[in-house]
Amino acid sequence: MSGARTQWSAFWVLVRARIAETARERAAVAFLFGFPAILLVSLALVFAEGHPYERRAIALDCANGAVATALSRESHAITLYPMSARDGLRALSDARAELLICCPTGGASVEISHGPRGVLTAEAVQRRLDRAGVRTTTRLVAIPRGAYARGLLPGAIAFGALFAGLYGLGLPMLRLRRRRVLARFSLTPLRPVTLVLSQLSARAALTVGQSLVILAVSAPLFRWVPSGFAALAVAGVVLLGVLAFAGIGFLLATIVSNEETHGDLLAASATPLVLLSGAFFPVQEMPRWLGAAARGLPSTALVDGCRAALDPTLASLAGPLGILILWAVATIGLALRRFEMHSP
Amino acid sequence: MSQPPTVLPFIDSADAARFEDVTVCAGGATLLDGVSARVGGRGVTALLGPNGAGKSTLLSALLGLRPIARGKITLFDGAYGPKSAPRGAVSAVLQDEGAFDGMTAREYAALFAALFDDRSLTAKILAASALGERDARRLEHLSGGELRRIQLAAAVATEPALLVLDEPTNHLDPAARRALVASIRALGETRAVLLATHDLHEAERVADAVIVLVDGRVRACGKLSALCEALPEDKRARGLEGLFEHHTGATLDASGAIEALDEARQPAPSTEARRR
Repeated sequence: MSGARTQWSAFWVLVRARIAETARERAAVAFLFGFPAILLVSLALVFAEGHPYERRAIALDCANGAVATALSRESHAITLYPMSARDGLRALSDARAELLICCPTGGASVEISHGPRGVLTAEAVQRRLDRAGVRTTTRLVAIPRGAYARGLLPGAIAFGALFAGLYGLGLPMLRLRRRRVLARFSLTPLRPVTLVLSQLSARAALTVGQSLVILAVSAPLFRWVPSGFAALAVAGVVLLGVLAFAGIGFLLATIVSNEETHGDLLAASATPLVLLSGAFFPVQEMPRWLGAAARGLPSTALVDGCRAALDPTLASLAGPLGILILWAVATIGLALRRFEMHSP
Repeated sequence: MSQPPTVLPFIDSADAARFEDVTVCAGGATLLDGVSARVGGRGVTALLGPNGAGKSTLLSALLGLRPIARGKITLFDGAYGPKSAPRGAVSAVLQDEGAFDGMTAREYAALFAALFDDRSLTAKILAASALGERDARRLEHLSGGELRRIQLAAAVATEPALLVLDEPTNHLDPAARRALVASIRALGETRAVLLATHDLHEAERVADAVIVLVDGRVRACGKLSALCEALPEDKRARGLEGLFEHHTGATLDASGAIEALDEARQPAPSTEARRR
């Protein structure tokens, strides 16, 4: 009992010290909270009118094979992304898709939803479907200015968590070991798990704070107020994201003992994790085997989770959260088994 | 609330530590080769030797930070091994021990108070380190002497029966060295202190006993006075310097630091190449 109380007291001292360390450093505070906000404003300005090279992406919620067949003849010009109507509407609002095609059951007309910039595409698709004998109606959806930039918001939050996790635990542990601080602590009652969890908690708390600041900045920028549930969902996804990526960085730190090598490994790991996350290239467009692998990555789960968290339902969050929990438990558990406070 | 120190009974041990034929190997090299020595229950025992003699290796083995290939290390009259001694009974300031990133001196003291479940330790450590208002500074912003003082204060706050100090005066200015040496002398009056150093003048000011280590082997071990008595006349008058030269063939610079070993007086090299 006394041992648990001792560890708990030490845990809080270490958490407070780590957070205070950041709070004392003006540059660290500015970077942690200011840089993502500046990045977001820059993106909003640059992409206010959408991406200049965006493709004709069409979200498709349709079991009617005739629709897909008719549109597949235009495969050089358009890309179809099967998804639910709810996700499709979100993609349309974020300007990630130009049209949303929904096929209601019971023989009603196929509905083509589009924004102001999608009028011509909608008309072209309508003509194509009319020729194929599919009845259609069109619906104009209001797309707020800066919608595309808002679509980058989940990526900005996700990558903040990804890098905070990757670099936030393993590297500091290697530094403490080199300075013999860990060897010194091994002569005290401090348990390795207490030290590790304290550093992890402090880092996660700071990163969750960072993501909430990004949300707060985005509200006036995109004239969009996230719900309380959305803020909570973002915090939860970011927390699990930090844990999963901190686990990866920490596990690597138990394999190599050199800080430079560890840094190189982190950089080498981060590149595929970022590229395959679905933030830059849709996972659906990847070769099937690569797409399947990408769906299991924590980076993809983190980006998907952040995307879902902005307009959350429990169902849309469950998959990404499950993958992140699996990665966090596996990597942190394995790393803790391998971790030693000192090396001979 | 706070637990009484569990370590006081060990202070009256005849032997704080005993090494019996201890061999430590790493990477195919023998770092310690059949070391046998003892550290008394009270007083300062100076562990002497040139750089690379194996001093830090011996201390790491004693603290349970490094495995031994052969032999035995026991603590407090054989009651414990390096890893089984009660936490707090043995404490240390390690060689070139660094600072915890971003932590202030006050937070560092509070951490030790939390770890040993005794809130009064915060004030005790800060008072002993005599930092004054500088206790709000981050550890990495303290001077080398100040950092050593608070590390030493934290190490002795739990009243350890055996205090291990690995070259604690490295990189300190003369005033800080003198102050630290005086502290070590005082600490040795109430507990066993094992002090690794390659500065003979410093060792002579504090040591009651010495262990001379060269090339991973013990050349001399015992009470300083008794070892000096056994020296030839010309070396005896020079005290610890004479003792050290006699047993190692080392030459000393003006400050008393070990400058070089006389290769002609070295024993045959150990069977395995030594890495350090």
